[in-house]
Amino acid sequence: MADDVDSQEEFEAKETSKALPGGWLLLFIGVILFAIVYFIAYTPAISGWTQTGAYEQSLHNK
Amino acid sequence: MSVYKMGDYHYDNQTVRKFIYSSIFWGVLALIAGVWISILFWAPGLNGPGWLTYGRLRSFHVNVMAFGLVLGALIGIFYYITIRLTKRPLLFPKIARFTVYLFNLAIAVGGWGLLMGYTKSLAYNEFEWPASLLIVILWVLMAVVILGTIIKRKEEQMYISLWYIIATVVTLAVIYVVNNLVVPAGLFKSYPVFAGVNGANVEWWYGHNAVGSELTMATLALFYYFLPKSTGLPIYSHRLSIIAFWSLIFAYLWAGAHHLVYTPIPDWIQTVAIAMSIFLIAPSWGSVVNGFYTVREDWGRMRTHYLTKFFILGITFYGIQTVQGPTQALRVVSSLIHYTDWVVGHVHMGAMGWDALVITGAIYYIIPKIYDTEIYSEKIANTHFWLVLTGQIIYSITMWIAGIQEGAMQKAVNPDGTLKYTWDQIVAKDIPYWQFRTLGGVIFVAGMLFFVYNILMTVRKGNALVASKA
Ligand code: HEM
Repeated sequence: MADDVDSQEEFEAKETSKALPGGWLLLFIGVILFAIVYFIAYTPAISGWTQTGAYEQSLHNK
Repeated sequence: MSVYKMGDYHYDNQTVRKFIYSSIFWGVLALIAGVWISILFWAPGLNGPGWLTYGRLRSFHVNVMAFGLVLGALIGIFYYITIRLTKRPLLFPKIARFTVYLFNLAIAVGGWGLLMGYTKSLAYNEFEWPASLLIVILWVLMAVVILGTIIKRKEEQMYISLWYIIATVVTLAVIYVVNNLVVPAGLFKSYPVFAGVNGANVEWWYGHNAVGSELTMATLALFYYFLPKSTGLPIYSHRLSIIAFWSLIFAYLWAGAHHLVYTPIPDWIQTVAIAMSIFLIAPSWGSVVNGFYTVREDWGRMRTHYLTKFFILGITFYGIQTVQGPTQALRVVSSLIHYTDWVVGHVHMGAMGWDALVITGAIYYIIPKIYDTEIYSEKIANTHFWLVLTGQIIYSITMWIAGIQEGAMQKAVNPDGTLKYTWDQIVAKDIPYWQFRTLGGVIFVAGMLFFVYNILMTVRKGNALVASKA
């Protein structure tokens, strides 16, 4: 049957095969930065933040 | 050019077909169970005795859907794609054929067990150990066939779909085996070796990545293969595909603990999982952007090539899903929507909007190709499309609203600190939403029945064609 094997040309656009859209690249870098900041802010050994501490704080604020 | 005879492919194509038919069979049973349990939510009086109780039918629905419909279709379609991208028949065709029978046996044993009340009680892994053991054997054999075929391939370059297939095969093997480390206590009962906090952590490492490999990576393998095939447009950027692939693989395995926010799991593990979840937006959207840019070459194909809309709407829901998911992982959002129907909405937009559209689109492509004919009716395929789209949107939106309402009522407190609402009061408010959910489900299942009919008629046409040629 004609369709039992494929050629790679069907799958990969030639001219744009190395393109990375700028908006996406910005998103990619943005979420990496966010992840790093979030990790630092919410890791007890680094920032001192803890789940139980945050809970007790919330009781005082009521 | 090819050194292989037509007959070699014919045998493998039959294996692919058998997997697809099996998966449709289990899928129809699981869909009916799903609609029925959705009715039990607002008409609990209909609960039957024994296997007709909600608890048993619910686990039957979930596990037979995930392992019967989705896994069955995926194995068959993996075989189909692997043959074509490696330019050779499967390495061990007889073993591949054997996996069809093993697959059906495993689902029959596991599904029957759930109806009889035998369950491991691990989410998304409820089949008791005999069925799980069969699934492990099935998976190893399938891995040998697929990885062997890829190693012995006749095309040097490996297209992105093959990378996603390899990732799925390896990931699911590792997580399934680890989450099935149990001590059997008789034929119908077993106890997991992990308990307490460790058990929870392993369970959601498994649960998250079972979704991640079956419903994400595997479905992306299909998406990257069938989008160019059914539109005639090559994928926009190979580099984008590859970067998105490796960053997805890097991050996924860390994210499981986002299912366990505000639990006794150590704070730092939750934090890592949440940070990784946020990061996942980028690799996920890499595929979304790649899909859109591909079809941007000619949006007219949404009209002229009927399968285009299955894949483009599919990747759109995947895009929404992968913004919603990371948001849910954030502590403040999790505390509102966890333990509510919101999550059920999230699940079903993924399952009914992304996975179902891509998998049925792929089957529409494959079955006529194997028979060297056209689909029985494009019109019926379009009806199917609009019905499942409508059904899914009704389902997702009603569950999001119900979920926010439940979350808000659970959190409401009186001035003296006591809870404002009882569980009963919260549930009573859900009834109209649950009725709408059933409506959405019925519309969705009606669409799926059009699909099944269309496939059956195409097969009939194909068989007649084969007979006339012989
Ligand atoms: C970047 C991608 C994604 C992330 C970060 C993500 C995140 C999450 C989170 C945090 C939850 C737990 C909500 C809670 O219970 O509080 C969840 C649940 C779930 N998600 Fe996603 N999601 C993503 C994509 C998907 C996709 C594509 C699917 C495909 C169907 C999916 C299927 C599910 C399922 C089945 C559950 C339910 C788990 C349960 O039983 O509790 N997710 N997701």
